[in-house]
Amino acid sequence: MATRLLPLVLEDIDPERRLTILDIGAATEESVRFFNRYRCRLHFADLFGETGYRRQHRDARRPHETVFDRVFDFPRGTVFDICFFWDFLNYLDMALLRDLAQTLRRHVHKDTLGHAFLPFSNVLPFAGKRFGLHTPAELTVKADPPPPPHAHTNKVIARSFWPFAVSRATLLEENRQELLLEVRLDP
Amino acid sequence: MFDKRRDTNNDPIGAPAQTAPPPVSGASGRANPAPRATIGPTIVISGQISGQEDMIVAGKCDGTISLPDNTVTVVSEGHVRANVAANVVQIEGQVEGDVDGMDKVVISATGRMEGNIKAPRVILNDGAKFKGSIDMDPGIEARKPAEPKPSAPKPKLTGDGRPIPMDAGGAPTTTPRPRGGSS
Repeated sequence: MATRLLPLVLEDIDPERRLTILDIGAATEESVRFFNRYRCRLHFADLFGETGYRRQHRDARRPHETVFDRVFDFPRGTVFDICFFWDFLNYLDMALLRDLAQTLRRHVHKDTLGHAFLPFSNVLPFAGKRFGLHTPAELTVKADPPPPPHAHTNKVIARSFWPFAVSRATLLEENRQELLLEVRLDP
Repeated sequence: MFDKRRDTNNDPIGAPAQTAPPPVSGASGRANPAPRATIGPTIVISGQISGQEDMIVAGKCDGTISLPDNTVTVVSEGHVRANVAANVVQIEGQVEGDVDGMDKVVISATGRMEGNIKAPRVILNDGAKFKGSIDMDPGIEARKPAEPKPSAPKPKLTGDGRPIPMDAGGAPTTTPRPRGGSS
């Protein structure tokens, strides 16, 4: 599967710079191999899996604690340079979308970049997918059911996913769009 | 009755040979094979393991494993609930804990790991399950730029519903802001 925006994120990485990366998906052979050439810390938080947010969502929570505060166990002070959301945002209803943003707010800086896939309209083009990073311009995509239940447009993301904002979007085939997200720390 | 001249290496079914004594180094010039310890499938060890030989874990280990010059292999029936430090760590079974590989860490297709990995190189085979973080530093020699971008058509961009400015060649006129590194 071709990607058009990831090259903007990945091709100019300074190999001497140490990166901290969040991948909200299963650890894949391709992604690990891709980042083997960089100084980086890769955090895999497979929220698509049953052990992720779905289980936590059923548990009681403390006041002001989001579902994702429990799911993520990043070391204190972890700040991400790149966040790969893949198509995960489409699995979240509006409340969970806001919860995710609230949790990640503590783990981004002003130059953090994000990447996500969304439908272009309210029709979901996705089946469940598992993504791997083959090259900066090419992803591997494998079936990983179940399919996502929510069809968020980039306008929804703009409203409900602060501090992330849509920086760029590009149309892909099959009613999909690819988003590049940037952080705007001021609401 | 027995043909002692028979060459057992010609066994057509490839039956395993009898265990031979390890070759002896010295005058013969042959090197000793690396010493290797095996934690058998019925063995349960709790505590601190350290030493200077390779280790195969087919049983259960709780605690810490420190073999910084050697290889630790957790085979498919092995279950390690420990922090592991070794030159090479090969995970075919289950590991819960942090793994520090001086050279590399390999998680095979049957491997399951939950914890943090620190190693210059990490290899994750298709089918492996991993949850945690991977801290990699391949060293100066191994660092190389990403593969060049194929000459794919430039995207028609929209940003938050608005068109994205593009240059005459169809490329976006702005580039992402430089990323700041974090520690």
